[in-house]
Amino acid sequence: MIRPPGWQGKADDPDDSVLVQRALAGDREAFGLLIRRYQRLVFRIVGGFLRNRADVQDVAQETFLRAFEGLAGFRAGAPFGPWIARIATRASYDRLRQRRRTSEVAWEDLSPGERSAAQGLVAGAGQADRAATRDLLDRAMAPLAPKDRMVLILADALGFSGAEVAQAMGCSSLAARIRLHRARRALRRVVEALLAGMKDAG
Amino acid sequence: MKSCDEVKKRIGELAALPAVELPAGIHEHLVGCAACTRALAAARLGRGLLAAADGVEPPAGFADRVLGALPDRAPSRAEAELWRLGWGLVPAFAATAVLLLILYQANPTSGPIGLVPAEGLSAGERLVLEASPPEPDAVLAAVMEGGGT
Repeated sequence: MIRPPGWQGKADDPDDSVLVQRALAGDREAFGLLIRRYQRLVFRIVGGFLRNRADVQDVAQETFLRAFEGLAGFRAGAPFGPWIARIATRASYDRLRQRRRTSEVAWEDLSPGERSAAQGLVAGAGQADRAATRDLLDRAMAPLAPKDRMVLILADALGFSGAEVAQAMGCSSLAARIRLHRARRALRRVVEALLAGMKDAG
Repeated sequence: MKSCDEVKKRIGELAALPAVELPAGIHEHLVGCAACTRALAAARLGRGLLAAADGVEPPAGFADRVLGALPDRAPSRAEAELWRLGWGLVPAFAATAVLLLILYQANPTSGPIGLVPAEGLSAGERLVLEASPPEPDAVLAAVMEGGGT
Protein backbone atom coordinates (compact mmCIF):
# COMPACT_ATOMS: atom_id res chain seq x y z
CA MET A 1 0.00 0.00 0.00
CA ILE A 2 1.40 3.40 -0.98
CA ARG A 3 1.04 5.48 2.17
CA PRO A 4 2.38 8.92 2.88
CA PRO A 5 5.77 8.07 4.48
CA GLY A 6 6.54 9.83 7.72
CA TRP A 7 3.14 11.51 7.96
CA GLN A 8 2.32 12.01 11.61
CA GLY A 9 -1.39 12.54 11.20
CA LYS A 10 -3.80 13.25 14.02
CA ALA A 11 -6.83 11.04 14.69
CA ASP A 12 -9.27 13.78 13.69
CA ASP A 13 -7.48 14.68 10.44
CA PRO A 14 -9.91 14.61 7.52
CA ASP A 15 -9.32 11.75 5.10
CA ASP A 16 -8.03 12.27 1.58
CA SER A 17 -11.43 12.14 -0.16
CA VAL A 18 -12.80 14.88 2.10
CA LEU A 19 -9.75 17.03 1.38
CA VAL A 20 -10.17 16.49 -2.38
CA GLN A 21 -13.83 17.56 -2.19
CA ARG A 22 -12.90 20.63 -0.20
CA ALA A 23 -10.09 21.52 -2.62
CA LEU A 24 -12.50 21.18 -5.55
CA ALA A 25 -14.88 23.53 -3.75
CA GLY A 26 -12.09 26.14 -3.66
CA ASP A 27 -10.45 25.42 -0.28
CA ARG A 28 -6.75 25.79 -1.11
CA GLU A 29 -5.64 24.93 2.40
CA ALA A 30 -7.27 21.51 1.97
CA PHE A 31 -4.99 20.91 -1.00
CA GLY A 32 -2.11 22.26 1.09
CA LEU A 33 -2.82 19.54 3.63
CA LEU A 34 -2.73 16.92 0.87
CA ILE A 35 0.65 18.30 -0.26
CA ARG A 36 2.03 18.13 3.27
CA ARG A 37 0.69 14.61 3.64
CA TYR A 38 2.18 13.29 0.39
CA GLN A 39 5.24 15.45 -0.26
CA ARG A 40 7.64 12.91 1.25
CA LEU A 41 6.25 10.15 -0.95
CA VAL A 42 6.54 12.36 -4.03
CA PHE A 43 10.11 13.40 -3.16
CA ARG A 44 11.01 9.80 -2.53
CA ILE A 45 9.77 8.78 -5.98
CA VAL A 46 11.13 11.76 -7.91
CA GLY A 47 14.39 11.68 -5.93
CA GLY A 48 14.78 8.06 -6.95
CA PHE A 49 14.82 9.04 -10.60
CA LEU A 50 16.66 12.33 -10.58
CA ARG A 51 19.99 13.25 -9.03
CA ASN A 52 19.95 17.03 -9.19
CA ARG A 53 18.17 18.55 -6.19
CA ALA A 54 16.77 21.47 -8.18
CA ASP A 55 15.34 19.02 -10.75
CA VAL A 56 13.78 16.97 -7.96
CA GLN A 57 12.04 20.02 -6.47
CA ASP A 58 10.95 21.17 -9.89
CA VAL A 59 9.38 17.82 -10.82
CA ALA A 60 7.85 17.41 -7.34
CA GLN A 61 6.18 20.80 -7.74
CA GLU A 62 5.03 19.88 -11.23
CA THR A 63 3.53 16.68 -9.81
CA PHE A 64 1.31 18.62 -7.39
CA LEU A 65 0.37 21.15 -10.08
CA ARG A 66 -0.70 18.31 -12.39
CA ALA A 67 -2.61 16.73 -9.51
CA PHE A 68 -4.42 19.98 -8.79
CA GLU A 69 -5.38 20.40 -12.43
CA GLY A 70 -6.60 16.81 -12.62
CA LEU A 71 -8.26 16.79 -9.22
CA ALA A 72 -11.73 16.59 -10.71
CA GLY A 73 -10.74 13.30 -12.36
CA PHE A 74 -9.80 11.74 -9.03
CA ARG A 75 -12.29 8.98 -8.28
CA ALA A 76 -14.10 9.65 -5.00
CA GLY A 77 -13.21 7.08 -2.35
CA ALA A 78 -10.11 5.86 -4.20
CA PRO A 79 -6.79 5.99 -2.31
CA PHE A 80 -4.87 9.20 -3.01
CA GLY A 81 -1.38 7.64 -2.57
CA PRO A 82 -1.31 5.47 -5.72
CA TRP A 83 -2.87 8.31 -7.72
CA ILE A 84 -0.24 10.88 -6.74
CA ALA A 85 2.49 8.22 -7.07
CA ARG A 86 1.41 7.65 -10.65
CA ILE A 87 1.51 11.37 -11.44
CA ALA A 88 4.98 11.67 -9.84
CA THR A 89 6.22 8.66 -11.80
CA ARG A 90 4.86 10.05 -15.05
CA ALA A 91 6.37 13.51 -14.43
CA SER A 92 9.76 11.93 -13.61
CA TYR A 93 9.55 9.73 -16.70
CA ASP A 94 8.83 12.77 -18.88
CA ARG A 95 11.92 14.45 -17.45
CA LEU A 96 14.07 11.34 -17.97
CA ARG A 97 12.98 11.08 -21.60
CA GLN A 98 14.40 14.52 -22.28
CA ARG A 99 17.85 13.23 -21.40
CA ARG A 100 20.15 11.62 -23.89
CA ARG A 101 20.92 8.00 -23.18
CA THR A 102 24.61 7.14 -23.14
CA SER A 103 25.73 4.00 -24.87
CA GLU A 104 27.88 2.45 -22.15
CA VAL A 105 29.71 3.14 -18.94
CA ALA A 106 33.36 2.19 -18.55
CA TRP A 107 35.48 1.83 -15.43
CA GLU A 108 38.00 4.35 -16.84
CA ASP A 109 35.28 7.01 -16.99
CA LEU A 110 34.58 6.86 -13.24
CA SER A 111 35.88 9.45 -10.82
CA PRO A 112 38.18 8.26 -7.98
CA GLY A 113 35.25 8.65 -5.56
CA GLU A 114 32.97 6.53 -7.76
CA ARG A 115 35.63 3.83 -8.11
CA SER A 116 36.15 3.73 -4.39
CA ALA A 117 32.38 3.53 -3.81
CA ALA A 118 32.09 0.66 -6.31
CA GLN A 119 34.98 -1.22 -4.69
CA GLY A 120 33.44 -0.74 -1.25
CA LEU A 121 30.09 -2.09 -2.40
CA VAL A 122 31.62 -5.10 -4.14
CA ALA A 123 33.66 -5.96 -1.05
CA GLY A 124 30.51 -5.85 1.07
CA ALA A 125 32.21 -3.29 3.27
CA GLY A 126 28.99 -1.67 4.46
CA GLN A 127 28.16 2.01 3.94
CA ALA A 128 29.96 3.61 0.97
CA ASP A 129 30.20 7.35 0.25
CA ARG A 130 26.55 8.21 -0.47
CA ALA A 131 27.13 11.07 -2.92
CA ALA A 132 29.67 9.11 -4.94
CA THR A 133 27.40 6.05 -4.94
CA ARG A 134 24.54 8.19 -6.16
CA ASP A 135 26.73 9.59 -8.96
CA LEU A 136 27.70 6.07 -9.89
CA LEU A 137 24.06 4.97 -9.89
CA ASP A 138 23.21 7.77 -12.32
CA ARG A 139 26.07 6.72 -14.56
CA ALA A 140 25.10 3.05 -14.43
CA MET A 141 21.45 3.87 -15.21
CA ALA A 142 22.21 6.27 -18.05
CA PRO A 143 22.40 3.59 -20.77
CA LEU A 144 19.06 2.07 -19.69
CA ALA A 145 15.72 2.88 -21.31
CA PRO A 146 13.68 5.35 -19.19
CA LYS A 147 11.01 2.70 -18.55
CA ASP A 148 13.67 0.25 -17.35
CA ARG A 149 15.00 2.88 -14.96
CA MET A 150 11.49 3.58 -13.80
CA VAL A 151 10.65 -0.02 -12.93
CA LEU A 152 14.02 -0.63 -11.23
CA ILE A 153 13.67 2.45 -9.04
CA LEU A 154 10.08 1.69 -8.09
CA ALA A 155 10.57 -2.01 -7.40
CA ASP A 156 14.18 -2.44 -6.30
CA ALA A 157 15.06 0.95 -4.84
CA LEU A 158 11.78 2.12 -3.32
CA GLY A 159 10.46 -1.35 -2.55
CA PHE A 160 7.04 -0.97 -4.20
CA SER A 161 5.06 -4.20 -4.53
CA GLY A 162 4.30 -5.62 -7.98
CA ALA A 163 0.78 -4.19 -7.90
CA GLU A 164 2.04 -0.78 -6.81
CA VAL A 165 4.65 -0.71 -9.58
CA ALA A 166 1.96 -1.58 -12.12
CA GLN A 167 -0.32 1.12 -10.72
CA ALA A 168 2.40 3.76 -10.75
CA MET A 169 3.45 2.86 -14.28
CA GLY A 170 -0.10 2.57 -15.57
CA CYS A 171 0.34 -0.96 -16.92
CA SER A 172 -0.69 -4.50 -16.04
CA SER A 173 1.11 -6.46 -13.32
CA LEU A 174 2.35 -8.91 -15.95
CA ALA A 175 3.79 -6.12 -18.11
CA ALA A 176 5.49 -4.63 -15.04
CA ARG A 177 6.99 -8.02 -14.13
CA ILE A 178 8.31 -8.57 -17.64
CA ARG A 179 9.73 -5.05 -17.73
CA LEU A 180 11.38 -5.56 -14.34
CA HIS A 181 13.01 -8.79 -15.46
CA ARG A 182 14.38 -7.09 -18.57
CA ALA A 183 15.54 -4.04 -16.61
CA ARG A 184 17.38 -6.15 -14.04
CA ARG A 185 19.16 -7.97 -16.84
CA ALA A 186 20.12 -4.64 -18.45
CA LEU A 187 21.50 -3.31 -15.16
CA ARG A 188 23.38 -6.54 -14.57
CA ARG A 189 25.08 -6.15 -17.95
CA VAL A 190 26.19 -2.63 -16.99
CA VAL A 191 27.40 -3.78 -13.59
CA GLU A 192 29.29 -6.73 -15.07
CA ALA A 193 31.03 -4.42 -17.55
CA LEU A 194 32.09 -2.22 -14.63
CA LEU A 195 33.34 -5.22 -12.68
CA ALA A 196 35.35 -6.40 -15.68
CA GLY A 197 36.94 -2.93 -15.90
CA MET A 198 37.62 -2.98 -12.17
CA LYS A 199 39.35 -6.36 -12.45
CA ASP A 200 41.44 -5.30 -15.46
CA ALA A 201 42.54 -2.17 -13.63
CA GLY A 202 43.69 -4.39 -10.76
CA MET B 1 31.05 -26.41 1.54
CA LYS B 2 27.98 -25.17 -0.32
CA SER B 3 27.11 -25.66 -4.00
CA CYS B 4 26.85 -23.10 -6.81
CA ASP B 5 23.09 -23.75 -6.95
CA GLU B 6 22.66 -22.78 -3.33
CA VAL B 7 24.65 -19.57 -3.78
CA LYS B 8 22.62 -18.76 -6.88
CA LYS B 9 19.36 -19.38 -5.05
CA ARG B 10 20.33 -17.16 -2.11
CA ILE B 11 22.23 -14.51 -4.06
CA GLY B 12 19.83 -11.65 -3.16
CA GLU B 13 19.99 -12.46 0.54
CA LEU B 14 23.78 -12.92 0.47
CA ALA B 15 24.32 -9.63 -1.37
CA ALA B 16 22.59 -7.83 1.51
CA LEU B 17 25.05 -9.22 4.06
CA PRO B 18 28.33 -7.50 4.94
CA ALA B 19 31.31 -9.69 3.96
CA VAL B 20 32.09 -10.53 7.59
CA GLU B 21 28.60 -11.94 8.14
CA LEU B 22 28.63 -14.45 5.26
CA PRO B 23 27.97 -18.00 6.51
CA ALA B 24 31.17 -20.00 6.80
CA GLY B 25 30.10 -22.61 4.23
CA ILE B 26 29.29 -19.95 1.66
CA HIS B 27 32.56 -18.15 2.32
CA GLU B 28 34.46 -21.37 1.81
CA HIS B 29 32.66 -21.99 -1.48
CA LEU B 30 33.33 -18.47 -2.74
CA VAL B 31 37.07 -18.82 -2.15
CA GLY B 32 37.21 -21.67 -4.65
CA CYS B 33 34.51 -20.55 -7.15
CA ALA B 34 35.25 -17.58 -9.41
CA ALA B 35 31.79 -17.68 -11.06
CA CYS B 36 29.91 -17.38 -7.75
CA THR B 37 32.33 -14.70 -6.52
CA ARG B 38 31.62 -12.70 -9.69
CA ALA B 39 27.86 -13.20 -9.37
CA LEU B 40 27.91 -12.06 -5.74
CA ALA B 41 30.03 -9.01 -6.62
CA ALA B 42 27.55 -8.04 -9.36
CA ALA B 43 24.58 -8.54 -7.03
CA ARG B 44 26.23 -6.44 -4.29
CA LEU B 45 27.08 -3.64 -6.68
CA GLY B 46 23.61 -3.56 -8.23
CA ARG B 47 21.92 -3.66 -4.84
CA GLY B 48 24.22 -1.02 -3.35
CA LEU B 49 23.68 1.32 -6.27
CA LEU B 50 19.90 1.06 -6.10
CA ALA B 51 19.95 1.60 -2.34
CA ALA B 52 21.47 5.03 -2.99
CA ALA B 53 18.36 6.11 -4.91
CA ASP B 54 16.23 6.57 -1.83
CA GLY B 55 16.12 9.32 0.76
CA VAL B 56 15.41 12.77 -0.68
CA GLU B 57 13.62 14.97 1.84
CA PRO B 58 11.33 17.83 0.82
CA PRO B 59 12.73 21.24 1.74
CA ALA B 60 11.01 23.36 4.37
CA GLY B 61 8.24 25.53 2.95
CA PHE B 62 7.76 23.34 -0.11
CA ALA B 63 3.97 23.04 0.35
CA ASP B 64 3.57 26.82 0.65
CA ARG B 65 5.63 27.33 -2.48
CA VAL B 66 3.43 24.93 -4.44
CA LEU B 67 0.26 26.57 -3.09
CA GLY B 68 1.60 29.93 -4.27
CA ALA B 69 2.11 28.53 -7.79
CA LEU B 70 -1.37 26.97 -8.12
CA PRO B 71 -4.00 28.49 -10.40
CA ASP B 72 -6.91 30.22 -8.64
CA ARG B 73 -9.09 27.13 -8.59
CA ALA B 74 -9.04 23.51 -9.65
CA PRO B 75 -11.05 22.69 -12.80
CA SER B 76 -14.52 21.52 -11.74
CA ARG B 77 -15.89 18.04 -12.40
CA ALA B 78 -18.14 19.50 -15.15
CA GLU B 79 -15.13 21.03 -16.92
CA ALA B 80 -13.20 17.81 -16.57
CA GLU B 81 -16.16 15.85 -17.97
CA LEU B 82 -16.37 18.22 -20.94
CA TRP B 83 -12.68 17.68 -21.66
CA ARG B 84 -13.09 13.94 -21.34
CA LEU B 85 -16.09 14.02 -23.68
CA GLY B 86 -14.15 16.12 -26.18
CA TRP B 87 -11.21 13.72 -26.14
CA GLY B 88 -13.63 10.82 -26.33
CA LEU B 89 -14.90 12.10 -29.69
CA VAL B 90 -11.42 12.14 -31.23
CA PRO B 91 -11.43 8.41 -32.12
CA ALA B 92 -14.90 8.79 -33.70
CA PHE B 93 -13.68 11.69 -35.87
CA ALA B 94 -10.57 9.76 -36.82
CA ALA B 95 -12.61 6.67 -37.74
CA THR B 96 -14.94 8.78 -39.93
CA ALA B 97 -11.99 10.38 -41.71
CA VAL B 98 -10.43 6.98 -42.38
CA LEU B 99 -13.76 5.61 -43.67
CA LEU B 100 -14.19 8.53 -46.08
CA LEU B 101 -10.62 8.12 -47.29
CA ILE B 102 -11.20 4.40 -47.92
CA LEU B 103 -14.43 5.16 -49.84
CA TYR B 104 -12.66 7.73 -51.98
CA GLN B 105 -9.69 5.50 -52.71
CA ALA B 106 -11.91 2.53 -53.55
CA ASN B 107 -13.75 4.51 -56.25
CA PRO B 108 -11.81 7.66 -57.20
CA THR B 109 -13.40 8.08 -60.68
CA SER B 110 -16.90 8.42 -59.39
CA GLY B 111 -16.58 12.07 -58.46
CA PRO B 112 -15.79 13.78 -55.22
CA ILE B 113 -15.71 11.24 -52.35
CA GLY B 114 -17.90 8.88 -54.34
CA LEU B 115 -21.13 10.80 -53.79
CA VAL B 116 -21.85 11.71 -57.48
CA PRO B 117 -21.48 8.72 -59.81
CA ALA B 118 -19.91 9.62 -63.19
CA GLU B 119 -22.60 7.61 -64.97
CA GLY B 120 -25.24 10.01 -63.69
CA LEU B 121 -23.75 13.04 -65.48
CA SER B 122 -25.19 14.46 -68.71
CA ALA B 123 -23.07 14.59 -71.86
CA GLY B 124 -22.59 18.36 -71.43
CA GLU B 125 -21.49 17.95 -67.80
CA ARG B 126 -18.98 15.28 -68.81
CA LEU B 127 -17.63 17.59 -71.55
CA VAL B 128 -17.06 20.34 -69.00
CA LEU B 129 -15.36 17.92 -66.55
CA GLU B 130 -13.18 16.31 -69.20
CA ALA B 131 -12.19 19.49 -71.08
CA SER B 132 -8.63 20.51 -70.28
CA PRO B 133 -8.24 24.09 -69.03
CA PRO B 134 -6.82 26.61 -71.53
CA GLU B 135 -3.08 27.30 -71.30
CA PRO B 136 -2.42 30.56 -69.40
CA ASP B 137 -0.19 31.82 -72.22
CA ALA B 138 -2.98 31.23 -74.76
CA VAL B 139 -5.42 33.21 -72.60
CA LEU B 140 -2.92 36.07 -72.32
CA ALA B 141 -2.31 36.04 -76.09
CA ALA B 142 -6.07 36.13 -76.76
CA VAL B 143 -6.49 39.10 -74.41
CA MET B 144 -3.56 40.96 -76.00
CA GLU B 145 -4.89 40.24 -79.44
CA GLY B 146 -8.37 41.42 -78.50
CA GLY B 147 -6.94 44.59 -76.90
CA GLY B 148 -4.95 45.44 -80.07
CA THR B 149 -7.87 45.41 -82.49
